[in-house]
Amino acid sequence: MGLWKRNFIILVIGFLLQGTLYAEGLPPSSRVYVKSLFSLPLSLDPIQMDDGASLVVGNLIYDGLLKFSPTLKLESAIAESWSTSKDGRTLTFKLRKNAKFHDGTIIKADDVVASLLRALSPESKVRKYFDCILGADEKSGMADNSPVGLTALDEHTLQIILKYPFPPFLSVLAGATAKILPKKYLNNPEFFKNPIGSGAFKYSGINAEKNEMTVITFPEYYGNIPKLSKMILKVSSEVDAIKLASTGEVQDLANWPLTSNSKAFLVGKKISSPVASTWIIGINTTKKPFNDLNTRQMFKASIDTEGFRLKFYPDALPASGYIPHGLPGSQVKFDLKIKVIKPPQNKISIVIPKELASAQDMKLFVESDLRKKGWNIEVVVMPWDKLMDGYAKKEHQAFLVSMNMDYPDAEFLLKNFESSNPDNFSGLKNKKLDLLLRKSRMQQDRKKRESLYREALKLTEESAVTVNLFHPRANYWVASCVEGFEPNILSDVYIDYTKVSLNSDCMEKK
Amino acid sequence: MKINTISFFRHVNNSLNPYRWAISLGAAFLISILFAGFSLGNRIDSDRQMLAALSPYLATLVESSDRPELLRVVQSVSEAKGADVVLVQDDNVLATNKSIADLDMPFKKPQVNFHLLDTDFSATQIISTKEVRRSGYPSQNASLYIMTPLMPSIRNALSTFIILFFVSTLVSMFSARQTRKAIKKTLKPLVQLHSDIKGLVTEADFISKPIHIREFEEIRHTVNQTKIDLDNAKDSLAEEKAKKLSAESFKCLIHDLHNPIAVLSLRASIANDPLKDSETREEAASSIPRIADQILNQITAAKKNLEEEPISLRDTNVVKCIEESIAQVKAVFLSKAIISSIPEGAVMVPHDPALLKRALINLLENGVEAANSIVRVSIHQSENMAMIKVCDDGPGMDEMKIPIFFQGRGQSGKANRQAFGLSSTNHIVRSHGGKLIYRKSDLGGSSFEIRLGVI
Repeated sequence: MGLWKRNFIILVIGFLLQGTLYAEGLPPSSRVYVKSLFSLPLSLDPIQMDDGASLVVGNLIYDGLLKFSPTLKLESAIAESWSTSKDGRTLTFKLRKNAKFHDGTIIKADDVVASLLRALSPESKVRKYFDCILGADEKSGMADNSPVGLTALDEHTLQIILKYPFPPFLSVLAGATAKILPKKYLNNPEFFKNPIGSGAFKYSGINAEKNEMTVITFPEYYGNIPKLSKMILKVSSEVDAIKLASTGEVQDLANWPLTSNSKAFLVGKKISSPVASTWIIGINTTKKPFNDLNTRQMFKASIDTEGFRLKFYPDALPASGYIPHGLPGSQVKFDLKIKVIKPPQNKISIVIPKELASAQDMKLFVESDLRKKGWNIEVVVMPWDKLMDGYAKKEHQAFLVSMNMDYPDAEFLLKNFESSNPDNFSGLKNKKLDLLLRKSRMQQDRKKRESLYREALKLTEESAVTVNLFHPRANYWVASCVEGFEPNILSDVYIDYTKVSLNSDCMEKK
Repeated sequence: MKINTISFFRHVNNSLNPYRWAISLGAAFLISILFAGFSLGNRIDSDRQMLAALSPYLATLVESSDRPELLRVVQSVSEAKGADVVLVQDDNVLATNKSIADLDMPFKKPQVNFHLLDTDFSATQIISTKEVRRSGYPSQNASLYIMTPLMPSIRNALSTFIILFFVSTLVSMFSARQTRKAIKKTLKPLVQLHSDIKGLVTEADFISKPIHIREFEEIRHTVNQTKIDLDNAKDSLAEEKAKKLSAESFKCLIHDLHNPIAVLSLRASIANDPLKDSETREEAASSIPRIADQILNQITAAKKNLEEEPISLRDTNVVKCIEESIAQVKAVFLSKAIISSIPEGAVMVPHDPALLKRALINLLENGVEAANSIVRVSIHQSENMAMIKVCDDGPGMDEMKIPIFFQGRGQSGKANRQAFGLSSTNHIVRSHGGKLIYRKSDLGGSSFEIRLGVI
């Protein structure tokens, strides 16, 4: 009897332990998720983020007032609820009282005000998204030192007043750059070396040797606590990433735009989804010979975009325009009437990211195609960080990039060509376009705004500042043990990793 | 041949039953089918209305290529309808509530198994479709599909059917129960009529109450009137019978008096005949007063009996009369036992209770006086006759003298009483058309048996 009793107790304890292990998702090591990135984040400061890797990490460690659902529905994040005044200019947000920063302090309205003020600062790369806030100066950042557009009504209530009713602004606040940071640390220049965020994952550190970054679960997160205990963001090229995936060292290649017939899919799962993105060859109008409109138009017309798509991304949609398919503005089709001239003999360099698996093939294809048509062309394969540095400094004549949208409105992409936008990679100055964009921002009527976008897009196409290659279809690769991975039609940046888990049974078998 | 009979209620109930159940269950089935069909039709109609309502709005969103908004609408419609909603443009999925992996991929329409009510049905879904366009605007080659799962609709229809069938059946059962009650209530006057007729026939003092159904009341009234007429007829008949019996008893009296008077006449002739010797004449003269007395006694007795002739002979229970007679004699003669053997139930005999009671008391008193210890009274009933026997265990009587005693000419040893009593009893029994018979009793003494006709 005594023996039975003792064994029973051991059995019960065994079950309890087992239960705990199952609750946690057996064993902790199996809850470590490795995601491949094409580069380490170029910045951990949300207002400096204009590259995909930074935005992916930013979305893991920071939260905004709002967030996007996979189908782009606006959902509450740090803001528990929100309301808009009848004139559409005043937005009031009620913050969650249980939302905390990673240091355990409660997120307050002052933190939100400070974070959004930073987005309006002159050094902000994302200022263009927030300049509709009342008091923001379009040239130097702030109209005065105390903009009236951002007010903490109380500890948990925030009011934003806009210069004009701008419906997409709620989407801006759900975007990857509208993140909330703790006010008390913002003056610390070292803050972003070890940032304290508000997201579901907490920054853990960068291992430069392994070229990887680690984030861990934030146990006091107000929302769904992630099922993963740790995420390792491992940097590699596309080729290496596929190799690591095949050996089971990586569970996620979502950062890579794979084609549906990629070898990676011989193992693991393929999750396909459209994304709001356009691959373009950006043209810098400040660089010769692209300062000439006719040359740009000829160049734009010369590139075999459909051939390029079919060769490298056959499952992507043809780019009928600059705006990705399924978003307002994408339906604008414009036949460019160009005056045929002999291509200039100036050397033209097109920079493409080295990390792309087909970078060399792309180089050969484009060079061969354009040279046949008389262009003095050179395609330069360049590491991503260097490419982005040149992009920021507007050094490249032309460059291949993917234009991802931070919020699902044509305004986001059109803004890139606004004269006053410091991030205007094309250097285009078109007063008519500027006027149309200003008008569209103030237009609440969806259809009227859409017609303004149409005009603006026509101008953009006429200006020939982009060669629209294709609209990619994301073919996400994840390991077969990954569950809860749900793509987001805006981009891979917005994939909700709190829902992702590793099937413990599957992991054990592995 | 024996006929199996059932109550009228059962007959009506059984006659109505097949129709009642067939109609109830048939109605339940039809109503259920109707509602189930209505439920399904409603669902299809609701999907169509939703499509028609959404089409112009979705057309503007398709024109704008506003997929985020389309996804919100489609998701919202899907949640509200519990159905899959797909917007297809140029054969590719533009928006869907299902996996976003389907977006921009060719739309795979489920295989249509049959077409009904202008709607497609696959094995698992009801597929409603509408082209998305604004009137007056060019086609955008876009269509909206609402694919409602068939099973919930069938389940709803089936649930509706089962619930309605169950409710209808309950209503039918309730209706059947009420119909039974109604039949019973309807038949109540008939039952009353029946019991009234029965009561009127079997019970003398039965009081019939009026029935509120006119036809039945007329029948009841007729029966009641017939009964009264019958009673009157019976009374007349009883009176007639009594008169007839009275005449008969007169005849008997005349017959009984014939011999004594003839003897008296002969003795008077002898007494006055000079040709006869004086001894013969004296003997004849001396016997005249005795014979005259005897004649007088007979006449007196006859007179007394005739004064109490039955007025009418009604069929009544003779047992009651016997019991009362025993009780009366017992009260006076306590020393002797009077035992009785009387069957249960009534023995209906046409008689005058007061007269017959007197006859019985006479017999009982004679028996008690003669008996050593026991007097036994019994009644037997044959097919057309009731026999009342009074026996005792006394010395018995000389059978040769019985006719004389019955005629009232016998000399009783007890102040002439017995002879007179027997004669009176005999007369009463005769006046009822019966017979008084003497036998030796199995108890050792006398046994007098009254035989009366039974109805």
